[in-house]
Amino acid sequence: MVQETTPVLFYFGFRAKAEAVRLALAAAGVEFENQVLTHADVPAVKKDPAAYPFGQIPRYRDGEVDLVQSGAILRYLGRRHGLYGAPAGASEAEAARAAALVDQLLEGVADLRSRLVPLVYRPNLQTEEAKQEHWDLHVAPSAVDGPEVRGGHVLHLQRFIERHGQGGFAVGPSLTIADVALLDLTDLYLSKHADKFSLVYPALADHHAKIAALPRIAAYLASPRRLPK
Amino acid sequence: MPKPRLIYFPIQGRAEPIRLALAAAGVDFEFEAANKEAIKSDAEHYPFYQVPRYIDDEVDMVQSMGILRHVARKFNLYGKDRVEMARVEEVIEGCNDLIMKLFTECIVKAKEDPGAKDAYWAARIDPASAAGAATYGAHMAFLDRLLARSSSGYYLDSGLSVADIVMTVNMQLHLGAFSRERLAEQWPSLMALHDRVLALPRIAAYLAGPLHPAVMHPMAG
Repeated sequence: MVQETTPVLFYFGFRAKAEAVRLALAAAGVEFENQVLTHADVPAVKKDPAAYPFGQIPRYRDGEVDLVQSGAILRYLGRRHGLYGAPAGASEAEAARAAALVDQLLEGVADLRSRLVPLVYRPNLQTEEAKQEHWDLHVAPSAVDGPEVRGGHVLHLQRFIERHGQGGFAVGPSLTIADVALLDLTDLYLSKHADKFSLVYPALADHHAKIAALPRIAAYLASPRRLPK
Repeated sequence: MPKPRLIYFPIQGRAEPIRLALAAAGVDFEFEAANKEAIKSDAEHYPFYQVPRYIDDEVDMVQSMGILRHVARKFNLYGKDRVEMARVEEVIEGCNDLIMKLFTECIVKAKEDPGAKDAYWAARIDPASAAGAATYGAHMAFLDRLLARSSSGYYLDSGLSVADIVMTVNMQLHLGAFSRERLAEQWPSLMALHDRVLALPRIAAYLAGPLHPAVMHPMAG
């Protein structure tokens, strides 16, 4: 039997692109080590293409894989730890449908993240104007039919989970990597807009509360490994 | 199994990797031109108000990369196990990052800024910039580096996968902006992969047939 190696996640001391991965590991009950890199480590990352083929972090390493690209890591963990929607004994068709729902929601979440992340992590973009502009275009329900939206709108996510989620999960009847990715995104909106967001998107706020309260995830969120930002 | 249906605009666009994957797998499919009114009024079938939409005996879904993963899984273009699947994902993510930069920094920007194409080449294609601080994961060198890990001529040792298909589309899009000579000179392995994929009999047949749109993208080329 292969010796189980404690997984190591290499990333900055921020949530950002690594947080969905951390949440997935926590949800799966997998102990992992956060190897925190700083700005001073970046040149070494760029000079180590074997370990960092894109010159980027996060990087995830365990006894089976050494991976980069947050989406690749998240999906690998979903497959390895039964978080891709298919229960044991599912038929191929059931598994395909479950995975299709997970992947659709992951893409929808990623679309919005890419538009939101600059507002959270780039200082010169954290203005009230930028925040309002993002709300007006991607969050306000009335904007969903506007020409500029092109798939990136919060209302699509709420409708998707209302249609496809069971028992409070995002898609299907059980916890998946789509739940943790959505929790992570909703976190950002709650931090920027707080009650305003919850009032307009009660299903997303309820989803956030439910997932955050699951025992393993609640324990992680209360732990020192949960970074402040 | 009834033929899968692909609903999209009559362009290559975001659906081309899906079409190429179906072709590579020898799966005949039907194409339907998207109805713009339906896309915005039928939230059940167009949950993100977007196409492509894909329907087969197992799924009715949207999101081009979600569809590609489904097709890959169903028709054995995803590698032999979860480790190979993860390698495929690394390539897809890296290709999509570079394609996004090609559009924003090169194709769209070049309409107003005559220096945009040269700047894009210097930042994202020229090998000299691969170790630089500002790549943010988007550089042709990284995709070449991943290809070099395999000995099969494809990204996976076990053979053709959608990683190769997405990289081929990536190269096609770059060929719309830069000459073949320049690209092949800098990245001969990636160009050889592109040529190898397009020459596969089922793909060559698809490219010569009625399901392959003539237009790559409204803005490209």
